[in-house]
Amino acid sequence: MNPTGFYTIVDHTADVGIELEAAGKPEVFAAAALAMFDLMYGLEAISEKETWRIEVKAESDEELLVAWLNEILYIHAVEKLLFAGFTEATLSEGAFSALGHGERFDPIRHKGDMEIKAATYHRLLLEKQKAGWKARIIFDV
Amino acid sequence: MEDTVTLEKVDDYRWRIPRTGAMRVPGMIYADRSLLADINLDESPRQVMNVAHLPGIIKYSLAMPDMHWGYGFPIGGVAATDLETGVISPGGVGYDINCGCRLLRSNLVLDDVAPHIERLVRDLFNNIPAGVGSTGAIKLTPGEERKVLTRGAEWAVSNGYGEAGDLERTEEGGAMDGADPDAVSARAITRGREQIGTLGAGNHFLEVDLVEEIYDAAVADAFGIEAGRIAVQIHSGSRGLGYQICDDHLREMGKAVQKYKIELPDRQLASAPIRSPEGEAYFAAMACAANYAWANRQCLMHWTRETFGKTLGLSPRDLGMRLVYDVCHNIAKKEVHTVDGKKMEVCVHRKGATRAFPAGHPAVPDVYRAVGQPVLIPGDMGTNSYVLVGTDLAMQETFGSTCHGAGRVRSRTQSKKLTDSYQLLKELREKGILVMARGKKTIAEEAPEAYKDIDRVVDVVHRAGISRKVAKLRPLCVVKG
Repeated sequence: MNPTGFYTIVDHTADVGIELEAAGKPEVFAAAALAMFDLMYGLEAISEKETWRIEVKAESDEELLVAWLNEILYIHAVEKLLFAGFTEATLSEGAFSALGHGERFDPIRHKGDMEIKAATYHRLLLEKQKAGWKARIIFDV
Repeated sequence: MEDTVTLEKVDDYRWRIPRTGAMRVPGMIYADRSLLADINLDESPRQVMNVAHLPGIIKYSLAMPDMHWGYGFPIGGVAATDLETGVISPGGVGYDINCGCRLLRSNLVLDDVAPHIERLVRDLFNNIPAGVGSTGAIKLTPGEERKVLTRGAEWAVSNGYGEAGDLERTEEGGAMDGADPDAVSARAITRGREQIGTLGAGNHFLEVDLVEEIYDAAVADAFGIEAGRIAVQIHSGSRGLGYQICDDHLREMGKAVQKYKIELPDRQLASAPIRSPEGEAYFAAMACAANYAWANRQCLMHWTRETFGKTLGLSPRDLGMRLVYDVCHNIAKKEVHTVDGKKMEVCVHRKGATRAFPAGHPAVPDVYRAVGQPVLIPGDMGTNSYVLVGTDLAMQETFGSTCHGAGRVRSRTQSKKLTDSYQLLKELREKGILVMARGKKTIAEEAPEAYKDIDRVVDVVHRAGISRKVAKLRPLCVVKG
């Protein structure tokens, strides 16, 4: 369904969604952010040259997931940073943090295919599976 | 919640969804049988029902024939709420606040541009910043950006981007009342700083068209549109500033729903009473994004005029590239409407819908007051666009609203799978349409087959009488993000 194979694309008339599974909730958060960059630029086009500590706070885990993805989109827009990896993903009561690895936008190498405006609450899903966690996020593009 | 949506036929172009459960008003969909078949493929009729739950909603939860699935509200949804007792919902506007369209007329005929069309599209592509992550030639200081947020298109004109006459031909004169930069977060201000004067990506575009057919000569004449002349459409919005304002305020509205005990069937309908601090803060911030979008389209138009002048070696007088009009497609407006024979103040949410005010309405600029407000309906890449005019019936039925475009019928991913970008570009070129885009996948996503038949969509609003056809435009070249 996608070049890197760790998420599937959910069809939505006007927009684009993703579904993915990972061992734990923090890993689901990190993978969802990576999927965004895969959709926007293709992960293979992004090198890991800089690291950024990113932290968000919200009341519920679902809100945290949306807030986290929108925080990443904000950093992407303002700092022109593209991420290709996340480590040290930590989820605690009302907060999520991770270390993002990536580089600055280079108009020659980074040919954007899709502008993601925001992660939405529309059909949002974050649920426990038999093994691990599953998330579904629809993006406004 | 019921699984099925009941649609009662009112006439060939109107379908009523009866009030059930906690719906406060019925729904009304404008469509013919064929478009209805597309509409029923997704959840949008259910979303029409959901919108009918909003406190203070008046008459109907409305949907235009280009409707499709959105967040909370369907795209193509219109809802008016009582200004005193009703709510305002960011989901009824969307992330791209004041995404809209403007149309320029010109003195040029096909023979003036045809020999230079390859160079023209390339020069437009190079001079109009577009694409994912694009930043513009203008870098705003925070102080200057605050001026953009309150003054809108007038800020652009006073900084040399365009002419004073452009403002009267822009909805709200290019600046909405009630904009308060203090309601806009520092993050949104930062996000907007470098994106003014950029087209963006996705369905945003700049298109050079030929006026192919006139349906109403008197109105077309008043709009300055003539068959055989070249026209230009610019479709863009408030860029990252608008997305951030929507995101910021959706979060606050989530809390407001609990605070004011508003019961809603979908979280994306999060809303607050218009007369609450949360509702007023959203309106003030949304108006700032709307003004930013008008300034954005004004700058894009200025560079378009400059490019035509340089590439074709013609003076502004020879070009005659006058703005016909600029309309919002995503907005909430405080307007006065007559409901059950009484005038009342309402908040009209138009999400993927266009204002369509009739002749004589005080909000229609003097130059068009005798004929009505121009309504711009851009097609998708490679298909026709339309110019319509507002009607009295729209005031009676749809709070002065009509459709906004073709409306998607196929998802972007489906479209990408089924469309070969290079083949499509070749086919379009064979039809005489040149396309230049930053992202090649954008072309496949925006393939004409991904959209409903715009001729049919426009036919429905025309036959239903909620706007009237004036002119048809055929694309010659398209610049996309």
